[in-house]
Amino acid sequence: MSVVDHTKELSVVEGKPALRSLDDLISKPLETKPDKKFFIALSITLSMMGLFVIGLGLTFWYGVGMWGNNNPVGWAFDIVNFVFWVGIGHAGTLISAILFLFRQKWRTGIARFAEGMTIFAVMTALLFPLIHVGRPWLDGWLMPYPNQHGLWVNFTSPLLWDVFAVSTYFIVSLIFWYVGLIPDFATLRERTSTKIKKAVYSTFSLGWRFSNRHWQHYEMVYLILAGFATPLVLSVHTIVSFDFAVSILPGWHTTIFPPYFVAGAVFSGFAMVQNVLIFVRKIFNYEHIITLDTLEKMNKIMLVTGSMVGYAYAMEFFIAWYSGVQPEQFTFLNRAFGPYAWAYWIMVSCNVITPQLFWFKKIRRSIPIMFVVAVFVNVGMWFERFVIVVTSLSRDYLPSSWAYYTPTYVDFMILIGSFGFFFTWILLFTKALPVVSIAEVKAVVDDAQPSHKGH
Amino acid sequence: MNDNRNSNDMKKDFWKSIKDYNDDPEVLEVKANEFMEGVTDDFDESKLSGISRRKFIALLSASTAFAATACTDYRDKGEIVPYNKRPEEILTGKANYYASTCTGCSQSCGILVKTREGRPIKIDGNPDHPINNGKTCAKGQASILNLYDPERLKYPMIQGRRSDWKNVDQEIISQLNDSKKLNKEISIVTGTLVSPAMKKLFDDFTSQYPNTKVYQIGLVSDQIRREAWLESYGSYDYPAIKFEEATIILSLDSDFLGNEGSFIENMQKYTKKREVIDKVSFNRLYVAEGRMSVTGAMADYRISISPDLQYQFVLMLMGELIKSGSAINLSNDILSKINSVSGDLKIDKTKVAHLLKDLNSNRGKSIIYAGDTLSNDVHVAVNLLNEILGNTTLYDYSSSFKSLMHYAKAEELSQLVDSMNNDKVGVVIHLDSNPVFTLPADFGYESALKKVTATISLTEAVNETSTLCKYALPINNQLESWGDANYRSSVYSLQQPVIAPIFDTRQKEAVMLTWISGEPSTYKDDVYHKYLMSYFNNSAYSKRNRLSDEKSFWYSALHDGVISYEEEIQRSSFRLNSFINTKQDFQSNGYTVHLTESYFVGDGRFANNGWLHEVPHPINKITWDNYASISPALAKELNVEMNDLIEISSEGKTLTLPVLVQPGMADKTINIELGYGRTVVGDVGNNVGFNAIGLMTKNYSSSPFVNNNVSISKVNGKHKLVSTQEHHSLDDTFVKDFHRIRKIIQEGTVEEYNNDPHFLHHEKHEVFGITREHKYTGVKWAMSIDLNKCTSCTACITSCNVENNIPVVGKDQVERGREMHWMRLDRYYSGTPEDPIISNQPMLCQHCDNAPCENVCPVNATNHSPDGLNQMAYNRCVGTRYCSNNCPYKVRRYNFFDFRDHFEDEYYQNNLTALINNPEVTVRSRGVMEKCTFCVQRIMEARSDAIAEGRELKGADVVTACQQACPTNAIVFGDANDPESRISKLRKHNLAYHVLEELNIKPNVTYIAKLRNTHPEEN
Amino acid sequence: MEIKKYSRKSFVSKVGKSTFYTALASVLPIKFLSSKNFIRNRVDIHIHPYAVKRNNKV
Repeated sequence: MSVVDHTKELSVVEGKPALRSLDDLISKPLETKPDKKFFIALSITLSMMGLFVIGLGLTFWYGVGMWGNNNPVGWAFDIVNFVFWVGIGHAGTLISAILFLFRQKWRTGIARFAEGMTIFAVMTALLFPLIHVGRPWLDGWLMPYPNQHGLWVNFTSPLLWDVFAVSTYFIVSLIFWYVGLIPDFATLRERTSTKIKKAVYSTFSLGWRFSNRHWQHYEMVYLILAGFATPLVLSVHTIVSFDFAVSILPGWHTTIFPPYFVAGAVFSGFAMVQNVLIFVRKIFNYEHIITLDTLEKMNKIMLVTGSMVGYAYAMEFFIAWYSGVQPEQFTFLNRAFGPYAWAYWIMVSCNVITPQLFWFKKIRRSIPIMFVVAVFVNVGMWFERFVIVVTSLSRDYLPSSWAYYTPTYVDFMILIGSFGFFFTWILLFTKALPVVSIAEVKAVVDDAQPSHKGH
Repeated sequence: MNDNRNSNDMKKDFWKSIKDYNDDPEVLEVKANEFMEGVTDDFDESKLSGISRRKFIALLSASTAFAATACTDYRDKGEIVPYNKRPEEILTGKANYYASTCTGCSQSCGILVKTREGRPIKIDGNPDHPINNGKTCAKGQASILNLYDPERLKYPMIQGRRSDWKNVDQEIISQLNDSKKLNKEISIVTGTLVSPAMKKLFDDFTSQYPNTKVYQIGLVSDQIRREAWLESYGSYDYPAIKFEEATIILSLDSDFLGNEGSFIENMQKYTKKREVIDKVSFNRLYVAEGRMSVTGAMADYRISISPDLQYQFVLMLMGELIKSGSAINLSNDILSKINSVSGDLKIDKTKVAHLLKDLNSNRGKSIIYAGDTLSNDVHVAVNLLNEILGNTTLYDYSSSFKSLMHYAKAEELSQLVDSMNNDKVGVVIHLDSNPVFTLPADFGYESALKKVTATISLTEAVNETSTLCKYALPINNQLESWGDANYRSSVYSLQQPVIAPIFDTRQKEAVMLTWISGEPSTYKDDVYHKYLMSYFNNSAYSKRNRLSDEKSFWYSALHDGVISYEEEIQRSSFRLNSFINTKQDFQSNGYTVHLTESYFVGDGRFANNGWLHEVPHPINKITWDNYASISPALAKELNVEMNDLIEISSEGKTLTLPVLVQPGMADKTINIELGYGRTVVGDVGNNVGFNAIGLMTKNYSSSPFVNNNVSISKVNGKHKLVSTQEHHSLDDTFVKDFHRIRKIIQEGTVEEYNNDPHFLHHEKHEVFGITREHKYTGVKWAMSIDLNKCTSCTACITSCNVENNIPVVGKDQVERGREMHWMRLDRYYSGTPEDPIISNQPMLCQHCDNAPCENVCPVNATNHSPDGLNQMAYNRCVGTRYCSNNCPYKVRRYNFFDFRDHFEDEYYQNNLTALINNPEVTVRSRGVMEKCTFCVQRIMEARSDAIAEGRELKGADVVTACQQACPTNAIVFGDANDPESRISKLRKHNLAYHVLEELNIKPNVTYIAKLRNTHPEEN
Repeated sequence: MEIKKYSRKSFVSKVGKSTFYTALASVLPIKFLSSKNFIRNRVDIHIHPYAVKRNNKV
């Protein structure tokens, strides 16, 4: 590598491609028939999703008893999966909204895809509260609707706040994503040949004319939506963490949860986004748009949030000891040395140790290694939720009610199936919508913006 | 309309235009081709559908109507049809109570049966009965399920094929007459006989068929005690013990508080001297045993000793105590015999020293009580020891344990088997007995039975004996039967049916009466009713000063259920010779197997009762199984842990079963409960547990239940024992003594309390809240549980199960931790594995004022009532389980499945068992959370009664199911806002504490700390 | 002689009509035949005619 000129910003898009070529490149997957590799991938994710359907079918038919949940472990895989998927969704919004407000141009290559992942992750997550209830046909009761009994939901319950937070998150993310797509729909509308596609793109592009006025409105709306979405990144997972923090269980009842969970969410979200992007940029030849620099920056964020998570682990232990409350102290010792110690040490090694590798530039910039690290991070983050939910419930205040939790095959079917569900949507997304934001990327190509330099 | 007239005839009547009027050919042409070219080419009138518009609409509406009739709501469970003509006795919605007697075991406790709309739904104790005083045991509570067992025998069977009574009676009568003619024996094998009317029936039967011999058998009974008493005092009847006057009690392998004899009565008497509430009055309990029993868990001092060493132990005590004198003159023979026994018993010397000191200083106020399973020699020795100490003042002869006939000895039974084998027996009648299961295999009963031509089994449900009998005759359940009981002197109780027999069953006595009469057609439904009434008039009526006529007396006796009268069994003096004849047990250096009766399955008769299998063992919390309990040291020696299989063999008989490590057991003792391992009982109970009767022999040396000629070895394989509590070794410091550290169990000693009544509250810190507290004006329900009196008998839990329609979930679901009991008995160990201290704690919904479960339910399904109850609205619950997660006591129970559907393929989901449900309590669906409601249905009933009568509801009006069942009245329930009520005084007691008080959730269940009466100099 | 035209339209209409009538006619027979699976074993219970109740605490 040549000496880097630190007075100039790194090129976001490498190589200064012609703007038209970007159009062609990004629209290419939408204009070609899916190839064999796509169908193979789709068949894999569809079969995983098939497991999901079967698992859910068994659960609906026989009851939640098909899972491993018991007394006292009332929540297990169901809530662990819920928190896991909601967490993954946070990366997208952070990239789309927060990095936008921070004017980080490098987000443009990845924002669309990340935001799409958010939406699909939130969809997957939303399934879990709906199916984990004992009587899913009454899920509507979780919504506050007026009725003749004058009966409202319980607004003091964190699960209710979840309902509001996650549905708000879904709606705002969807709107934000959609607004960003409008210019791209228009681009596609101009390029398309078939009648149906033209009709669809015309509808969705809402009559975008590429006029100046349209762009002005667009920029303003986008800014406002980014402003809306930003607090959601922090608040949604905070509220999800309240499911635990508001309870009285040792191991759950701690004020560090909101920032800890948010950091963890960003951490796992970025890891998942990074994993998928590595595939996307290779398959679709977006390597000069989703550059190695971008990936490196994402890794740096992972390092920061991973360190925050590691700090939170240490702080939990310290405060438990410092509090002098025996149940609290025992909960943490139990996590490390009790029957679930195996889960705990997986979590610590994956979440605390592996991201520290990102201190080294060589590792940060090496695609195979960073991929593996991100996989470990995801595994570790799943186990973190498992450790928090299951170990705290399994051994709480009264030793007479302690019990060990073992998942059943239906639990695993639903876990694997949720990944299938998620990835199916992503695969379909790659073929239906542009995975990179055409308009935004074109805007950050070198010399794309008019400037006074050189005059 | 076509005009058929010739258009040329005249001008047309109907025309549309002038052209038409003039029959213009153009118009005609247009008319002919009214429709476009080719459109009507296919038109053919004959091809038109026959359905007119009218018909089509008619069909449409008819099919909709049909479709509507085909629709049924999946929730449609059938119709509820109200009475057309209401029976006089029934007021819909109001329960009727009937007094009767329980026949679950031989103790014959008086019961009150609660019926709704003609069907019994709950059994509770009869408060008028002087023995059990309104209380029942767990078996009595759950026995109601046997009435509604779908696998009950419903009709008589010959060779396994359905028949009818007329045929059966005819054949049997002819068989009986044949035996009479051929001089063959007619054997009646019966369980413990407590009914004097039935005894008279046997006499009548014997006079009709002179070759009748009656054999009374029982798997675990007081036979040994009676035989010893007979030797010592010349009487087969023995007195009750005045435990309430005993200051020192020494129990030798006697579970007198748990499962032995009249344990409900014993518990009541015992706890009279474990008082901390109104006064402090304490006895001191020493238990010397090999296994860990409920009584052992209650002990102030527990000495681990193998059951085959008890004789030496008693003699050692005797030897020490006679040094300070004896209340009975001892001859030199006796003295030398006492001193002849030697050997180091290897037991705790400090405790023995305490024991000797106490027994010495409490002569005449103490009692030594030996267990039913110990040998004759031990019982005689104990009789002598009590005489020496002058403890005979505690023998209550006015309330003796009577017997109507003697138990058959092993020799008699062997002779019966020989007769059966040699064709000397013509008819064998089994009356509610199961000797193929309960007799040790080496009697050879099973093969002998097959040789007899007429084998009859009169039984409620199929069992191992009835399947081998030619005639299996179904008898009425206890709730459908007439009967009486005179098991205790001075108490005569009556049994009356509360429901007409549901199936084609008959009263067993009535069946025998028909056989006596020799003519099947003499049977009438009330034949035994009349017989009983006439017996009653001839006996009980005459025993009392009566001011009324016979019939009124009979009705009032049935109304009360019990008659007390004066009767005292003759006292006699101790026969010293009986002691001379005792001998030391064969001492083994190996292992000793101690077989004891199951706590809940009895002798196996309740093996098909799902509630009784599922209720956890009082000490080790195992369900749906039995096992070999061994000490931690023995487990280490054999290198086994819980669930590993071991093989026990004794004189050619082997038994393979799983191991349970039980802290506190004597090192080489193995304890196995009897009554399990039945093979023919029903879908619920078949092959549950392991049959340890195989280790019993008819040729026992001292006691049939103590076998010290065994060897054990580890074998491959495991059998998962399912427990409701995790088992941790007492050595595991990681989890040791949390119940003490977390102040879940707070205990002290009597000495500590006497010195400083406030000792419990010194370390308490102030807990304050930051939210506005609710004011509770009016009634506020609260409960208190006195841990001094709780023995873990589990009657409360069984009563709650019956009252609140708790489903049975089965072994696999209990393994997953999904048992549905609203109340549980927690058992905590502290101390060492060799000498553990056991603490019990009933745990139920604490109905917290600041309930953590209430504010986390997203749909508001659980909330608080103005009278202090934490309520659960089943129909609103969507089942997120957050409330259970947030409950620190983990008392909430979730319906993971529709358990009525899920257990044993809908075994309990049938029209018969559905009748047991309490109509006042919702039957919960799948996915719904449930928990203890403080019997809100009883509160509501009391409240509506109060409103109807125009008075205030008082706390004392409501009795919860658990409170009603608790034999020692450890549970107190009432209005905390009433300053006069017992509960409000208990809440302020010095020993009162709450579990997890520091969480500030303000529970409303107060626990009274347990005091152990240890020697003051120890502290 | 005219060969009867068997068009798709008439085939569909025949099939539709026959399904409709079969469904209509079979509602009651299916209900009757499937009633065996919903066995409703009535259990007749009666209070015992000679039972003496006690509802007063005296």
